[in-house]
Amino acid sequence: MIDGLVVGFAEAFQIWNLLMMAGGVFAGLVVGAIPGFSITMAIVLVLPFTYGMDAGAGLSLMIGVMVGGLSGGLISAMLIGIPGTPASVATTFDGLPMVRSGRQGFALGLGIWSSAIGGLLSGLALLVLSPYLARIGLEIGPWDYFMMIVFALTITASLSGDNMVKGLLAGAFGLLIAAVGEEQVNGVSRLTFGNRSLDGGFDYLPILIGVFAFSQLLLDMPSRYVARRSLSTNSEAGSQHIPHLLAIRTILKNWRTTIRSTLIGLFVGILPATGASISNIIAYDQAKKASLNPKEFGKGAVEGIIAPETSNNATQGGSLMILMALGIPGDAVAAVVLAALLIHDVAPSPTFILEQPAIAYLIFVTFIVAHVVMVVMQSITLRVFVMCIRVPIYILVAIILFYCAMGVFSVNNTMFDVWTMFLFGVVGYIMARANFPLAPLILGVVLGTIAEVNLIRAMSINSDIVVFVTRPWSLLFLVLAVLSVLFPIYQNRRDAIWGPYFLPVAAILVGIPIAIMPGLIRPAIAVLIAALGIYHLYRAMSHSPKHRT
Amino acid sequence: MPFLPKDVGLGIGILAATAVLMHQTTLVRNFPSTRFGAEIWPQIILGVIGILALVMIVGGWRKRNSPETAVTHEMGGKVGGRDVIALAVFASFGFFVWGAPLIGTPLAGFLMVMAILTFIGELTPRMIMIHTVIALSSVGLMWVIFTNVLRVIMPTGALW
Repeated sequence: MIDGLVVGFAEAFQIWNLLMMAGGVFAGLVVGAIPGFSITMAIVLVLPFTYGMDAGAGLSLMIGVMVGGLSGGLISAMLIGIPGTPASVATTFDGLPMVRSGRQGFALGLGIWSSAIGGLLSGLALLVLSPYLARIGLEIGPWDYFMMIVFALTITASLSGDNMVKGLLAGAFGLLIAAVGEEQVNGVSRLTFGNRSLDGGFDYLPILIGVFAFSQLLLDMPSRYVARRSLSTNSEAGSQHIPHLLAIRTILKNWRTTIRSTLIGLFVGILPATGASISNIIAYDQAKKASLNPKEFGKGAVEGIIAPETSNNATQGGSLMILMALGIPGDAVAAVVLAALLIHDVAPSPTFILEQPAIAYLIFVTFIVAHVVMVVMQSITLRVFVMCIRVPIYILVAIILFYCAMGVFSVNNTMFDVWTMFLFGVVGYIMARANFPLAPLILGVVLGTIAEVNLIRAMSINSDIVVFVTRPWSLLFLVLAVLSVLFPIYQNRRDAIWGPYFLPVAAILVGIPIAIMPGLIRPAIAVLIAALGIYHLYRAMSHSPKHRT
Repeated sequence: MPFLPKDVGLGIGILAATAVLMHQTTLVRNFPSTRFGAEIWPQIILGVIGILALVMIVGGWRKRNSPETAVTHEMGGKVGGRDVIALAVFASFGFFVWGAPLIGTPLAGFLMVMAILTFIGELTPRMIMIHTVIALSSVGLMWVIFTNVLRVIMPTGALW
C-alpha cells in the first residue's frame, strides 16, 4: 500500500493535475450552488474536456468537480433554504435557521469544515478499508434495498416531530409521484390519465426545486413589509467573516457526531444506487436521537449541520470505495466517474487496485487533497454568496425563481420540466401551509423508482414475503424502521410505564439481525449490544415502582 | 370552530383522491407474461396513504376540541396576505412558463421578474427604475451564462 501511496501522491501533485483538480473544485462549487444543476450534470459537462487529457489529469478534474459540487450544495441550502441536490436536504433543517439568526459565517464555516472532515475521513477509509467494506456491499440484495428505503422514509417522517402521520403521508405521496408513468421493468404506463407526455414520469430535480424554492421563498414573505426586508435582519456588520478556528473546534468538540456521520456516509456509499440523498437524512436523524438537546434541532443546532454535511461527503468516499474494489458505481456520480475511467481504458474490478496502483491511488489521494482545496476555494467564494442574503427578500425571490427555471430547463432541455417545477411549487406551497413536512416528499420521489425496481426483483426471485424478515440486512432495516416510528413517541412519553424498557428492548431487537450476519465480528458485536440491552432491561425492571413495593 | 377540523377535511380529501387513483390503477393493462403487475406498487402505496389518511381523520377529530387546534401554526393558518403574494408570484411564474416558448425566455423572464418586483416592491418612480435595471441585468446575465457558457439551448420565441 505504501508504494502505491507514494506513486499516487507523485501523480496527484504534478502541477497540471493539481491545476485540473483546483479548476474542477471551483466549477463544482459554482454548479453545486445553483439549484437545478446536479453534480452528475456538472461531471457530464466536463467529461468531454477530459477526452484529450491523459488519465491522471482527466480524473483529477472529475474528482475536483465531484468534491466541489457536493460541498457547493450547502451554500444554497444554508443561505436560501433550497438544497441544490438531495444530498443537502437535511442541511436546510438547521443551516437555514442558523443563517437567519445572523450567524451565517459560523454556519457556513461549520458546513465547509464538516464537509472537508467527512471527506478526509472517508478518503482515509478509502485507502485502508476498501477491500473489506466492499464485501459488505455484495451481501445487500433487493429485499435489503427495499427495506433500507422504507427505513430512510420512516426516519425522515419521524423527524417531523408532532406531524409524523403527515410526514409518512408526504413520503408516500413522494413514492406515488415517482410511480407515475412507465414502470421501469416492463414499461407499462400507469396513473397518467391517458396523457402521453406523462409516460416518461417526472424527473426528480424539477420537483425538488419546485417544492423547496416556492414553499421556502413564499413562506419568507408573509407580507409586503417583511418581503422588502433582507433575509438576515439580525446579522451584524462583521458576520460575513468565517471563523475557521471556532468551526474546527466545534466539530472536534462534537467528535462523536462527526465520526458517527462519517461511518453512516461510508456505509450508505458502499451500497450501490443509494447515495448521499439517504445518508444526510440518516446522519441528521441519528445526531438528533443521540443529542442531549434534541429540542434545539430545527432551530440552528450545531450537530444538525455537522451530521448531514459530514455524511454526504463521506458517502462519496464510500461510493468510490465500491467502484474501485468491485467496479460497481455506488451512485449516479460514481457511474459517470466510471464512464470517465472507461474512456481512459481503465476498468475497475476486484483486482484493479493491485493491477493499476498508480491510477487507483491517484484517485484516493486526489479525493483527499480536493477536500483541502475545497476549503480554500469555499473561503474565498463564500463572501460573495453571503452577500446574497443582504438583498431584500422580494428581489431575491424574483431572481432566484428565474434562475431556478433556467436550471430546471437545462436538466432535459424541455419546458415540461419547468411546468413540473411550477406544478410542484403549488403542491409544495399548499402542503407547507397545511403543515406537511416537505423532506419526506422529496426523498419518496428520489427513492421511489429504486424501491419499486428492488421490490419487483425481490418478488421475481422469490415471491415469499417471509424472505423480508429472514434476511439479516432486510430484518435489520425493518427493525430500524419500526423503531424510528416508535422513537418520537418514546421521546414524548419517557415517563410512561414502558418508557424505561424502550431503549434496552430496542438494543436487543437490533442485535438479533446483526447476530445472524456472516463472519465472526458482527455476531460478536450483536452479542455485545444484546448483552448491554439485557443488562439495562434488568436494571429498569429492578427499579420499576412495582419492584420497589 | 369550523364545520370540520382542518385535518379531518384534508384527510377526507386525500381519501377521495386515493379512491380516484386506485380506480386508475385498475385500468392498467399488463403484458401476459408479467409476474408483478405495474398496478401493484401504486396500489400498495395508495393502500398506505388510505390508512394514514384515516389515522389523520381520527386524530383530527379527537383533537377537535383541544386548545392546540385553535392556535394558528407558524406555517399553516387562514388565507391572508401571504397567500395573495403567493398567488401573484405563481401567476407571474405561470405566465413565464406559458409565454417563454412564444415570446422567448429573455422577454418572458424579464416580464416575470418585473411583475414580481412591481407587485411586492414600492411603487415609486425611483424604485420602478431600480426594478427595471435589476430585471434587465439579472435576466440578461443568466441568459448569457446559460446560453453562451453552459451552451443550453433556450426557447427564443416562436412568434419572432
